[in-house]
Amino acid sequence: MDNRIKRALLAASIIITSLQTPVFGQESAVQVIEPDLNRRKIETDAIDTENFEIGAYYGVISIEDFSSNPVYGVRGAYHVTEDFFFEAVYGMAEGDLTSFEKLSGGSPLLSDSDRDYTYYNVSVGWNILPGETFILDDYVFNSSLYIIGGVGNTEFAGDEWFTVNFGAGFRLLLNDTIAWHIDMRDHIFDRDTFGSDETTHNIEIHTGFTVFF
Amino acid sequence: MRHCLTGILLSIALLVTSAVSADDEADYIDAYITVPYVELHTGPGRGYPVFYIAERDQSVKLLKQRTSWVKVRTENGKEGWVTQHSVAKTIDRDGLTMGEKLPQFADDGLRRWELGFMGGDFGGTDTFTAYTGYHFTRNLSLELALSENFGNFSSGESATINLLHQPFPQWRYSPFFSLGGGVRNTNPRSTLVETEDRKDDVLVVGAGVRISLSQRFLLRVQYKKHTILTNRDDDIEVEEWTIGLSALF
Repeated sequence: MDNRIKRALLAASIIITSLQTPVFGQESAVQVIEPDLNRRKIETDAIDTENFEIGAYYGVISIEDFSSNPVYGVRGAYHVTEDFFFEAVYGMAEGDLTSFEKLSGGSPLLSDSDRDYTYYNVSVGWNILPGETFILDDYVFNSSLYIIGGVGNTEFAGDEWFTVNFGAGFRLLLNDTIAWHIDMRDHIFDRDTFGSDETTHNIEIHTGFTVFF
Repeated sequence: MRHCLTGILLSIALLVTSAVSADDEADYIDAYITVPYVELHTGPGRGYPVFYIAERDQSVKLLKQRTSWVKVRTENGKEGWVTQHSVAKTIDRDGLTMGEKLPQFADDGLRRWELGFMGGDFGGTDTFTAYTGYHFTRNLSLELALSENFGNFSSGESATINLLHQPFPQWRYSPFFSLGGGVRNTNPRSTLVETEDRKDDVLVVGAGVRISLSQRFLLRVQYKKHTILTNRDDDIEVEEWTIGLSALF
């Protein structure tokens, strides 16, 4: 009889412990190990990219036959790689009187509104000489010489003209964000304002500032 | 126009100040170097000299990215530019590499956006086009194209939306076909007698080849046939041949 009771109690205790042990294990895991680590959130785009450049410029453009005049405009660029970038530009100037108009003293060949010279273009630029520019002993700036060329539209003398442009420029980074540019650009288009088709070269030199963002 | 220019300059000034004030230490990701060393350049390009070496197990903060270069700050305050390739191999506190953690460092994924411009001939006149496209898959993309052409008798501009299909996108010289439509403005030249500007719908079918130049750039040569749906008796058909450059990003 004693034996039977002992066996029953033993079996019961084994069953109870086998049932309880895993439950105990789980509870103690939660209580004993308290995580002391604040997990950082994983952000998908956590690093700021600065591949766009926007800015304004001012300079001089020599409009063929219509003398040299101030030009100003805005530019935007997208830097695809360290070597190549796309640039879009919108600029405006005003043509002066031709030498003939000044000397003859007769009636002007174009109306005032037709003398407005506006252009826009898209170009691809290549940073061919990246490096550092040293100014005396005290200053050093990152800089790059680039060559650039593209196609666009010029509106002048009451019509629009298909224009090819090419040139070169120098970009000096004052800090990571602000750049100073000097640019020289030739805008070439065929124009028949005076009867026959003629190819005109309109050379522009300008300087300006841009911001990377 | 002067007001416009002042406005632009003002907004640039605002941009600059906001860029400066956003400099908060806690916002930057810490990355631990796992390779023997990484080189810090003074600028974002291979032409800028190496001025510092950060060693294995050091940590750097990732400040910003320009093209494939990342500006980092080391524990002792040196700031320089490191290639994206090197940064992708660094790890965070949990041992995850930056290449896995930040999709912007993975360089083998499908680049979905395309931007480019092209020039050429549109029915005997000069033309240029700027376009942007979105790639749904490697085979299929949707493109918005803005064109202008300049003729002796009239100039015009058009805006079209095109669906492009590349049957073999993995080929270096990958052919494509396009189908689209849009609107077209025709402006007779001012040297001619006054005639009215016309606005017509236009349908475009085309074919061409995309030639991959590098991972990010490709050359595109294409032929398009434009059917201009005029409100006169006959529709006008114009052939266009262009060549251009695209960037993928």
